[in-house]
Amino acid sequence: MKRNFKVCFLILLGSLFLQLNTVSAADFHLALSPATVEIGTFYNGVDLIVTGQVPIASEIVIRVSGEGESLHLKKKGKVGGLLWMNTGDIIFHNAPKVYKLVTASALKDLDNSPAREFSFAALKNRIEMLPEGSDNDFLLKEFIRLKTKANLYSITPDGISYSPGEGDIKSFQATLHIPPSMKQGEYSVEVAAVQNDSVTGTSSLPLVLKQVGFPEKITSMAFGHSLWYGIISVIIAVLAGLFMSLLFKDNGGSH
Amino acid sequence: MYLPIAGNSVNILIIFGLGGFVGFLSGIFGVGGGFLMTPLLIMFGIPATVAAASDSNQIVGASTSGTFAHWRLGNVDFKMGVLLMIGGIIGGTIGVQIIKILRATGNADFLISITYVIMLGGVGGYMFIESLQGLKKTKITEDIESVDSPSVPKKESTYARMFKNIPLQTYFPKSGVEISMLLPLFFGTLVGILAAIMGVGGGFLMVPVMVYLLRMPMHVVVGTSLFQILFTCINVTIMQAKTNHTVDFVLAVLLLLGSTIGVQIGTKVSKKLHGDQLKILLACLVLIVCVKMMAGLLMHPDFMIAMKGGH
Repeated sequence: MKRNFKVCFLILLGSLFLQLNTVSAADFHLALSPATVEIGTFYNGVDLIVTGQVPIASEIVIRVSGEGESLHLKKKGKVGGLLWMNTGDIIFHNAPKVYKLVTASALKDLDNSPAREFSFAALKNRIEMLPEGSDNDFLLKEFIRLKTKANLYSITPDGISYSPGEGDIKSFQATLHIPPSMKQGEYSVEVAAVQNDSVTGTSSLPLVLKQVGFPEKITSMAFGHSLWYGIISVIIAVLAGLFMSLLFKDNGGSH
Repeated sequence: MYLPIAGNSVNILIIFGLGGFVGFLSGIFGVGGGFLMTPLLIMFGIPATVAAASDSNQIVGASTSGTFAHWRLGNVDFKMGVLLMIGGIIGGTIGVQIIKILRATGNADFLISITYVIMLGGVGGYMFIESLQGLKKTKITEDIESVDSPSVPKKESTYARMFKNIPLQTYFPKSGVEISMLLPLFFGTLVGILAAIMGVGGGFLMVPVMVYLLRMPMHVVVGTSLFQILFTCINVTIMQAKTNHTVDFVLAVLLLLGSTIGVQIGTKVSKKLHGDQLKILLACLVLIVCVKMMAGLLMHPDFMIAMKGGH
């Protein structure tokens, strides 16, 4: 009985602690514009505006991340001391599809800040690399570089602007570019407030990217009726080829 | 414009231009151009698997346009093309099995890269030297003819005598050669095996085979090669769409718009060029690809890891 009471007390204490640290979106007045990104025919990425309110003494970091995926990559190495080529496979399990960070000026050195859990370095605890090897730390850095080049991972230091709010509250705003290489799906936008060398609260909202119109129709056909999609693609290519031949002939271009 | 399967957006004009450039090369040389187009598309942010599959779809359009244009000029040997195609399909199937065995031994990538460079270097180098000699010879012959010297009958080579003894001798009127039906089947199989191992369409291997081993005239070679590539790429496009969902129709159409025009212009240019001039230009193209491959093997890569897939 006494033991059960202790367990209940610990659970209650734990949930109180969590409540103190995880603040709901409403508490930060977190808002995204747009909250849903529509990917149409001429979509070329969009600027996402993140706004909210935090205690005046806080600094914030924003993270946009996607769900984890398993990626099979090739390792490069020197063969025979001369030629660079693929020397083995490496799998990155649970690697976020997207990992974009925007920090306040005061949190520029994210690795050595209380919000270090948000940093690229913290991905080491999140991504599982197989097989294990002595060069895995280096390969993880290369992976992050590769994703950064594809515009899917990024860090923007000093990307948050503050404006005075009411009382001891201030407003923040950040603009984050959502690149066209971010595929449709659900992503998470998290905001962490840091004060007095600790994370005082976090808040998050979902960000949805969805294809609409022509891209949506093409994707649903490519995955839903793949054989017909392939056949139609071929027929259109053949017709386009024939049409162009006839066009050139009609223009008197033939010999 | 957004590419729904590639999951990225591209500048329409750039993709149109890329299609036009590679189509132009197809029209001149009778190659599909996948070895050139796929790396270019990857450079513009298209995933390797989508780039290769969509390029196949684009080649269907370009090779239809090119085959049609060459057919009108009387430059397609359908009989030879069908035999080479059958050989190519058999070779492709064997090649896929060979690559499985090579991968199991663990050094497939090394062998593929080395084979690629040696093949490209060998074929390109030989074509370059041979066509250079051909160009010089043409000039000398023209000089001799100009002083009314009697022509000397050509001596039959050991190669030609040897191949005359192979059964099933057939006359190919379009190409003007009489050889065994087994020869195009055999060489088609050989190119099919190499193309499957190297992960490319094989047009730039098939063209030299037709020129040097089957002794077909260069202009018929280009048209016949395009005819054969057309059917190979139809098969690849449908298979990729069905199995891997990697054909981006929007990307293929954008490329098509450029390549079908490019191939028409290329066909006209090819008609104006002498056979040896065509060969020497193709040799340069093959050697450039070879040097690029060599540089890729010798220079420190930008990244020590790479995504799988593509050519």
